[in-house]
Amino acid sequence: MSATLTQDLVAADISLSGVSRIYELGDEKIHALRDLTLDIRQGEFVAIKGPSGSGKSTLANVIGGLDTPNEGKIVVGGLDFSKANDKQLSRYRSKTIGFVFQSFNLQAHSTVLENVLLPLVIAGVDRKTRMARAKECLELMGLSDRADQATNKLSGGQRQRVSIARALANWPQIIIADEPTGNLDQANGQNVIEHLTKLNRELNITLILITHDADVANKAPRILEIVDGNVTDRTSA
Amino acid sequence: MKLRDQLVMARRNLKRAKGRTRLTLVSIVIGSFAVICVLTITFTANKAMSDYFEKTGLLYSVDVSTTGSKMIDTATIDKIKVLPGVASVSPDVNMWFFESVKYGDKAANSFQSHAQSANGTTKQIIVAGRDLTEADTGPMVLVSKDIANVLTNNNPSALINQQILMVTNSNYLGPEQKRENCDYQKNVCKSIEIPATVVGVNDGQRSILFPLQYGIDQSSMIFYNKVPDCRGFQPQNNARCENGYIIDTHNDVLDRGYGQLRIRAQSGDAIPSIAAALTSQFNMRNQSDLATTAGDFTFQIGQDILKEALKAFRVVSLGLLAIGGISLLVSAIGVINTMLMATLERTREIGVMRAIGATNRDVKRIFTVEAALLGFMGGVWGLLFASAIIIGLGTKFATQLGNSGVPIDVPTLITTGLIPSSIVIVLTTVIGILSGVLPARRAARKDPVESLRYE
Ligand SMILES: Nc1ncnc2c1ncn2[C@@H]1O[C@H](COP(=O)(O)OP(=O)(O)OP(=O)(O)O)[C@@H](O)[C@H]1O
Ligand SMILES: [Mg+2]
Repeated sequence: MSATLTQDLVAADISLSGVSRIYELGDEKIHALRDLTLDIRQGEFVAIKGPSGSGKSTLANVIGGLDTPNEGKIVVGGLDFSKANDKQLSRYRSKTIGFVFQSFNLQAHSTVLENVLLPLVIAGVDRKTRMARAKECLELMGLSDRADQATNKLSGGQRQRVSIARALANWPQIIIADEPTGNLDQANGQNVIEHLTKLNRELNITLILITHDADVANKAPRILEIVDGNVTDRTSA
Repeated sequence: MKLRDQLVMARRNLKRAKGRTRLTLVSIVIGSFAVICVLTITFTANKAMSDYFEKTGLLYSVDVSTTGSKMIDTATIDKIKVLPGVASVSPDVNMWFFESVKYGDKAANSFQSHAQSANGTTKQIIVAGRDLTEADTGPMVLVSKDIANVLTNNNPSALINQQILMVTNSNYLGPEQKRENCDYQKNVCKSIEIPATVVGVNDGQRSILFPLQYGIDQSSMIFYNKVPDCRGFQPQNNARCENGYIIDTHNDVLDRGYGQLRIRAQSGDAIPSIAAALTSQFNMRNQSDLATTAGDFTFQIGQDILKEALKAFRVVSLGLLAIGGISLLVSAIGVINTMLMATLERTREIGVMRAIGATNRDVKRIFTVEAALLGFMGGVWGLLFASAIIIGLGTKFATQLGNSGVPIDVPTLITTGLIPSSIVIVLTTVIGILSGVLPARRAARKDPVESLRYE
């Protein structure tokens, strides 16, 4: 495997049908997702908005294979989650998905480069390839000169770009960003969104962007609104 | 994830919690240090003792000694010689009448002078010069290294072919003594110096060894009894009358026999049958047979001495080993505690790892490898400390240990002691792995979404 951004992507279309995620708190049942059906095709840029507690993060986690729904069927790129074991789901998270979190979730004391290397190390990519690939991703995020810096010395915007580089490292088909601008000011937020949309435009990576911010959401050709665990398509076009 | 990367990651994580890692290591290091020291000492001492018994022939020897007045006579010796399995026999003459030895302006006391057959019954470990041979009959000696050191300022080989002076005590009335030196009322004499030639130096302690024949010759004591007049005295075998003295010569050895005898068996297997024959045919009793006091003589089997020594040693070392084991057990609890704290502290990190592709097994292995590394490093440090101290003390005390008859030197300490006991590193690593099982399983079972939420 060579370190290159123009790796052939196998289409990873997302299909959810009748998905419910129910939390039980004592006697109370909370429907974080309620009988949700949704299709996202490879290369789409989808914004998901909705009020707090409506189930946005739950949806992201379910698509990302981190959380398991109580009901319904999820198939991504031919992988049926209900039939997949931990190894297959982990491989899916490793190879197909890249997560970007609101609170960055970087290893504070490691260097920028080490953070980007981590998914490649976990995936067992050989040393030479992973080094080249990590540097490539950092370059793409405009962070080449920061490679050896400790991440806790960076600004919020830079940190979020490091975490995008990390999400990008393993040649994913899908990037899921859960409120990536939530901890950033206007300018930095915009910069991060630009970097993310560039990946979608230039590399045909599916971008699922979760946000409160209407301005941010409006950049997406397709906008989904979640209310009370269910989804409405608000796409204008 | 590749094992190599897991090791790198484990090292980094341990470094990150430096203080805690060090504290955990201390207990493993103490435990493994103790166990390594005990094992090293046990292995080395076992080896040294067995080697010593083997080299000196003690492993194949049976020592007979009298229980009272009855001595071992030549007829008995001749019968023992031809017992099946007996390789050789040597009586032992105690030359009790030498009280010190001089060489130039140096002198040594407190040693035992013996005479034995130089027929290989006792194997001498020669340090310098040569062994006595059966052709030697005169005043020739094999001096033990400790005495030679005293006489020559630690240059034993300077003594070879030199004359030393054996100083007699006041009860020596032997062939070299002069009549005018003695008070015949009391049978005491002035001490005299008898020259002897050193043929060799052996590895023994506090001993000077003569040829058997010389020992027998010197055991002839002359007693004088003043009488008014010699007329009417009937000369006997040992006694004559001269110038108003009855001169009476006694050789204790020739008249009565030997007090001690060493038998050398052809092999270790022959010893039981020799022991049985000694008991049944010669009225002898095995010293380790506590049920009876019968017999004119007792005998002690060299192998039994070794076994007893090793047994006593084993009891001590098992005790020490138990203490080391307990501290290792305590350190295991330390590892469990440390790793549980780590799993809690790194909950969020575990969530991130899962999100970017780590399997349950990866997470489990990350923590297991970390615990194993703790155990391994503890073992290595324990070995390093133990080596430093054992080699240090070994270097300092090697000569004293050598002089005590058990030759332990630094190379022996390393090859028979330290190297085999470095197996303890495997033990501490396994302890680490086992201690890591529970925390690692706990880490792997964490729900990724919950972990990512963890503050
Ligand atoms: N582990 C849990 N146990 C119980 N309830 C939960 C759990 N996780 C989520 N929920 C509930 O599920 C619902 C959806 O949560 P989710 O985090 O998906 O909301 P969200 O849309 O991401 O909100 P926000 O915009 O605040 O991030 C909420 O009502 C939340 O309280
Ligand atoms: Mg959320």
